[in-house]
Amino acid sequence: MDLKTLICIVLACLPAIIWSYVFLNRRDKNFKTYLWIFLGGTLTVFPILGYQLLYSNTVGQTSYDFVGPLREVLSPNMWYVVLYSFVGITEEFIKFMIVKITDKKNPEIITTLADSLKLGILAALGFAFSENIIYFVRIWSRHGFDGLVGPFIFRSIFTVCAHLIFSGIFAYYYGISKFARDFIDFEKWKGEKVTIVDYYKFRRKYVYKGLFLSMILHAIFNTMLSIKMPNNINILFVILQVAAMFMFLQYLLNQKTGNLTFILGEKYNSTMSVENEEVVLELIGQWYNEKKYKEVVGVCERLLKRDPDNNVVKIFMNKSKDELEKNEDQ
Amino acid sequence: MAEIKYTFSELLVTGKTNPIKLIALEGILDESNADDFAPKVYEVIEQMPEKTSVILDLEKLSYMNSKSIGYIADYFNKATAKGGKIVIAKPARNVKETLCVVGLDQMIPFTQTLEEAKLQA
Repeated sequence: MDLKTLICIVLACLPAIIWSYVFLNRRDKNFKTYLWIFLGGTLTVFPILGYQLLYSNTVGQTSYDFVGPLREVLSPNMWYVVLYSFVGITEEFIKFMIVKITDKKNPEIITTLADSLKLGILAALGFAFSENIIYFVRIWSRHGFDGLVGPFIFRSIFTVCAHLIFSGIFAYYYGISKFARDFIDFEKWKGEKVTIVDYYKFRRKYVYKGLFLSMILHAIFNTMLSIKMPNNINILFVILQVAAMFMFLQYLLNQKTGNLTFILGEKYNSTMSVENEEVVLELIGQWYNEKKYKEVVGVCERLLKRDPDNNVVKIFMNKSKDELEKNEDQ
Repeated sequence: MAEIKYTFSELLVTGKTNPIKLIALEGILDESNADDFAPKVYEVIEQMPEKTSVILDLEKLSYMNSKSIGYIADYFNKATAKGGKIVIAKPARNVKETLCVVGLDQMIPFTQTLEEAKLQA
């Protein structure tokens, strides 16, 4: 490995360390696992490079090449929209697969929505780290070290942060789909009519919603970065987009509902009869709909003393606390 | 429709100056009858003089649904608005547990006997 690459690796480490301090807690219960996911994330850059190489060495060499003709038909800006949207969508899908595979193999890692979100952030951090090395080496080779300073600062602050946010968003929704049964029960006790079919619909809905959101946001980000606009107004748009998404992610991370721990395995039996507990849950649902959040919190606290592992009661309690906090802020 | 029997009566307690209404319930209060029964209690509360206390005798009530519990909270609000009180007497164990989890015991006194209820009223 030459000195240039080594320096680029060190440079790529800086944003990775800083952003991991911003979003992750060192005393986190899954800190070691998070490190492994980060390393896994660093490898996700290879499938993306791989398909680009594969394309240029196979279809791209033949008369079946559809990219060349497409490029000729489109205007330069439109071409960037198509190209970078495609890149953004693929990247999100691969990072999503990392989160999904990790969760399937180690379901005990994600016990809160915030855990899921952090997993997404870690996979993205790994990806951004590898991508930064490739970009830094390429920029240094073309424009020298001086030419690297600006891109280094911009990528470290905005590009890395954007990657974390895109993946954090799909991972948060993935978490909701993971705890679908509890969230569906929450809807049921609020008075919605739900069936077993709704369980599968609910899971799919949230996975697709998260993926769609992150892919669209990533595609917009990539496109805005690559097109040419007067006075570089597109860069201002990118900065505003990242700032808004950062606040949204912080909001998701700080919500009480995002941090409630779902019990996945065996649960303690409730000391209340099912019939009585259902009466209380019905009432909690009614009061929640009537926005009597203080009362809901009180009832949930007492019910959790009798049934401490009831995830639905925890959802009601935390959502009510979030609503109360929201009302206080207003 | 589930069966609910009820009696409304007035109690005279020596040493007490305020009037006391006794509402004794028997059976179950569920989705099928809770809405039909509630207006009867509202009528009693509306027509009763100021500072009247209401004792709900729940000894023979074996089940209450969530709506009925919500109605009790509402009876409490209406009675206290008129300067009166609500006391729950002799609730069955399961009904009492549900009411306690809901937190009604923090607003309304629960008693083991009717005599205690009269003293609280």
